Amino acid sequence: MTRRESFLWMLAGGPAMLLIMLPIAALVSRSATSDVLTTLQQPETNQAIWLSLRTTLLSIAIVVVLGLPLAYFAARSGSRLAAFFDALTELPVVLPPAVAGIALLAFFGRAGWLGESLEAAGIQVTFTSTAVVIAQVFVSIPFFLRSAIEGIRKVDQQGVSAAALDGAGPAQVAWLVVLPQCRQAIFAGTLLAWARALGEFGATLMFAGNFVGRTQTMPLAIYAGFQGDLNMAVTLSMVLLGMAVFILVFARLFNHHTAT
Amino acid sequence: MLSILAGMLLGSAPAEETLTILAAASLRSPMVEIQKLYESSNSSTRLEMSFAGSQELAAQLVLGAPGDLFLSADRAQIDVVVKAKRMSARDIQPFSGNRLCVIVAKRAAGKVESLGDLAKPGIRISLAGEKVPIGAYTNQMFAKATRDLGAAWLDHVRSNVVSFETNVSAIVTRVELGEADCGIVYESDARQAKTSKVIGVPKNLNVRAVYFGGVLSDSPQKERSRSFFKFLLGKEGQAVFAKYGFLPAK
Repeated sequence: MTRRESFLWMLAGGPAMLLIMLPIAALVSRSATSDVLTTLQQPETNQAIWLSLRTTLLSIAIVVVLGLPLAYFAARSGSRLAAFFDALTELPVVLPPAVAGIALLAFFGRAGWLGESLEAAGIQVTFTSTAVVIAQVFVSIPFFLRSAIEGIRKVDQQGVSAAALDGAGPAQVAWLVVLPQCRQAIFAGTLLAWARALGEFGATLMFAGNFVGRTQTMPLAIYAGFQGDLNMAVTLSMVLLGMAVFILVFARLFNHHTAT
Repeated sequence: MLSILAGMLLGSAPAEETLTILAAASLRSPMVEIQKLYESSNSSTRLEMSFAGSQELAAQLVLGAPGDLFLSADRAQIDVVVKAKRMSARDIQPFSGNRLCVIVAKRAAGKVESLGDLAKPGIRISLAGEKVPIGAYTNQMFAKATRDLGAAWLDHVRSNVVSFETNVSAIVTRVELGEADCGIVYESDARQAKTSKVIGVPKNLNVRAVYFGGVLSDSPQKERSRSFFKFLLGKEGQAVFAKYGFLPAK
């Protein structure tokens, strides 16, 4: 591309770039007048940050442990069911979180398919931190699966066949041959899923409710802050923005590291 | 090209004769009926209504949301709008009233029979946040009830709360779904809620909710808005509110 050509394309792409950058710049500038440091020390803000960190870390652990076998099956089995699963994992990506909230209530709610028996056994799901984690896993696992399935699919089949010929069992093939070759995709998927879990709002609000320290994660606290304490909303927005940037930079660095 | 598309998909700005009314969530049923009534007798005026917790509507107005009339479920949230200079204090008028009661989910029938039962272990109570009018009124009622039932009662009730909603309709939904065993709502909500039981709050402990409304100072059609507000305050408007279980403003 010539310099002139590049300049023209930049002009043409400018509006989209500005649409992304200007609101974020406005948020950052608003935070300068919002006493972020004091707000950060308030118990409600603090509890939201810790709750978000605790629940998303657990969610991500669950996503990886439960997601890997499914991704492996969907990517490597030639069966029709695998193709079906492969397509199905995309559904929650496009499903609005509010729909996820209603679906989770229908299954885990007190009158839900599973919730009713859980309730009879004395186990409460709705309105607990467990519900927060369930909502996060539900909305974030497809992001992990998409990335992992793609990575596993790209693994060179010859190496796998050779290992199998050498007598490696299925678990060994997976663990020692296939997965090490797609570490990058799995890691990228994990980060993406984490980012999605951190931002989860609608399903959490409907399914887990809103209770400080128990189910009020950062996005819910931002919404609560919007209705009275804008400082808290702005402060937590800055925290989430910071984490989003961190996740992106981390993903880039890791990509770069493994590429070279 | 994009602007043509936007024009087609988003529609044009509301026509001159459309009034935008931001109303407390608990006003939905009477307001929908009043809308029909008013539009049929004032064919030149269209009403567009947005229902949410009053504190949410106030926050939107503070941030510059356009509107003509704000109908709040308490005085505090209308004062938020006055403080932001979107409404003049002399334009504010009370237009309706309400009382609190407890609604009990079908699955919890028999478990909650009185205010005292809210403190029973294992009862799941749905309330609203303290800035939501129903939440603020609930706290006032709790303060009164503590004198009869004791401070320990209130501690137990508080520990039974499972979620703080952002408007009274969400509390009704939680109880209708049975996710919460009971919730504290307005008497007008309780009339329509699909629940097993409504427990009245004794008169000496109850709180009278007063709804305040006012025309926004920057409304482009103040006269039209005022005449609709007058209709709300008049005989016909008040009759609809009464039909849905609201009380007179005073």
